[in-house]
Amino acid sequence: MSTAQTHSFELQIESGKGGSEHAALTISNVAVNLASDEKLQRLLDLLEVPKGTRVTISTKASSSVVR
Amino acid sequence: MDHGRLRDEVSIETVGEEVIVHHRFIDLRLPRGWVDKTPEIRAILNREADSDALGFQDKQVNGIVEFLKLQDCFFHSRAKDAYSLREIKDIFESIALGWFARYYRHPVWNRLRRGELNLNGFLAWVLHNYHVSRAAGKSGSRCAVLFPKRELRKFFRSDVLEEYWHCDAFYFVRHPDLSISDDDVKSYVPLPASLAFEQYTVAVAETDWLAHLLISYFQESSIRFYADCQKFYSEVEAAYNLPDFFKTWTAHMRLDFDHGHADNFVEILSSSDNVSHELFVGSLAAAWFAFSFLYSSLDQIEAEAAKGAAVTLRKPIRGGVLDPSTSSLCRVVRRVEGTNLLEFARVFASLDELQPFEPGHTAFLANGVLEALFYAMSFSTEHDEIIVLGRLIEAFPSGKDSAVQDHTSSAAMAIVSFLRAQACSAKTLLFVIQIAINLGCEWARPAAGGRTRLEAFLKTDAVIDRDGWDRFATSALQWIELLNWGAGASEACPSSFEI
Repeated sequence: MSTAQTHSFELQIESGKGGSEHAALTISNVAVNLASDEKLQRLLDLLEVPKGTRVTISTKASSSVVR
Repeated sequence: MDHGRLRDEVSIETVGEEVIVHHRFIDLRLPRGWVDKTPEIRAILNREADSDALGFQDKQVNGIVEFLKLQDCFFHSRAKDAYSLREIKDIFESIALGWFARYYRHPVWNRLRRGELNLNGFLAWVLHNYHVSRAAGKSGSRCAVLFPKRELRKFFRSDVLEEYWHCDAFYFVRHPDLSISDDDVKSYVPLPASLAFEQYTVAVAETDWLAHLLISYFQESSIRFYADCQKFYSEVEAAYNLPDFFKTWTAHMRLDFDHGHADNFVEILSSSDNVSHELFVGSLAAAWFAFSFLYSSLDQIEAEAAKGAAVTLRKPIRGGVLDPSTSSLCRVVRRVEGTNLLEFARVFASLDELQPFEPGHTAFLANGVLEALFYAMSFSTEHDEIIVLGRLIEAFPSGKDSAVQDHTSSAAMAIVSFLRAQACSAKTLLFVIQIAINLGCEWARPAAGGRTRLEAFLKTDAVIDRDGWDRFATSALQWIELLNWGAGASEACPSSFEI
């Protein structure tokens, strides 16, 4: 996958258009276990977990670390 | 060897009818009744069982374990004698995500989102970013010259040229609703932790190429949070009524994206070159200190906000006058005068009270003084400087161990980095050492003969005129800030990492 394609993939996922069911995304060759609450909950549902189990995103990223 | 226990950073909390698994950016909330009647899950949450040790028959248990696995909640040790850079990158990925989660949990972010941090704090944060950006070219330049491998030196020769101008192009405060000139930005005295980040990463570039790569990768890979960043900037612009304030910041992120800066480091860290376990552990500790400076800067941004609502920049000293109403670097109103650096050091030592350091840091700090004196001699071109530096070195006990120890605090490392950075000017280094001696820092105190030589040199060979006052005064205040940081609570380097 070229760099440009990787970036495009990232933007799709981050804007919620990627349709991935998997919470472990690969962004710019960097593994990251972030997704929306909705996607994570969908993952839980796929996995047959006890009724009442829920997942929430506790921390949102903010400013990037400058370099 | 660990095979699937919960990572150290996973914490478990029972709230009402839920058992919450906190990990990095997410909370998994399990029904308490189910956890109580499911011993396999209870054993995992209590770290009494590893996820790999049991063959779970129950589909629900399997489902939860699978979810936790996908979220990288379980630790599988990959420790061995040596690692390829690719393996190091994979191990560091988990560690870096933990650092990111901690960084973004800091309360300052929500205060910025809501506009609750006053303009002093807001500007301190903005200018911290300017300083971190400015440090990239500087530390990268050391890599371009001193890295041990030719390919890496070649990479940094190019990388520096892509990075050095970003502070100039993207991080000035040119907003019509804020009267902050480019000169205000350029002269703003860095927060102690911003300064430590710059000085430390420059020093690390000389001594630990792997640590520098890990730090750079950590910074660049924050691009993974691109969408969240953009949302955050929109929220902050709205909260402070500063439309388009982050336009250049976003342009910088786009540039990082388009140039594939994170990918460059992924590529470097994909080689099969081998690194020993010992070197890897040392580099992780070194990278942790850089992270701790970034994190501590968030605390110091809040502290800057707490100094007052009226905008008072951290301006350097002008005209020998200390005044908290014109520079938040000052604590008291005072005119500082002196004809030589010995007199000047006495003035500054009388400004502040210093708490004693924890005994555990003394050896590390004393070694930092000694190393800085050696460095200073290596840079010196004057006869009298070389002699006084030599006499001082002789007046310190010979260093037993220069290695970072488990309990070394981030502030202690910041102090040592500051001393190291002053070493390019023997007079400045000796001046700050004299201030530390006057403030009662035992670790900075040479034997009596050395003290006498130091005082004589600062009195007769370090005569300063009015033009020199302001530069030394600003350095003295930065030094006292660092010492006070060291005297307070400061996080210690972890004793181990999950490798």
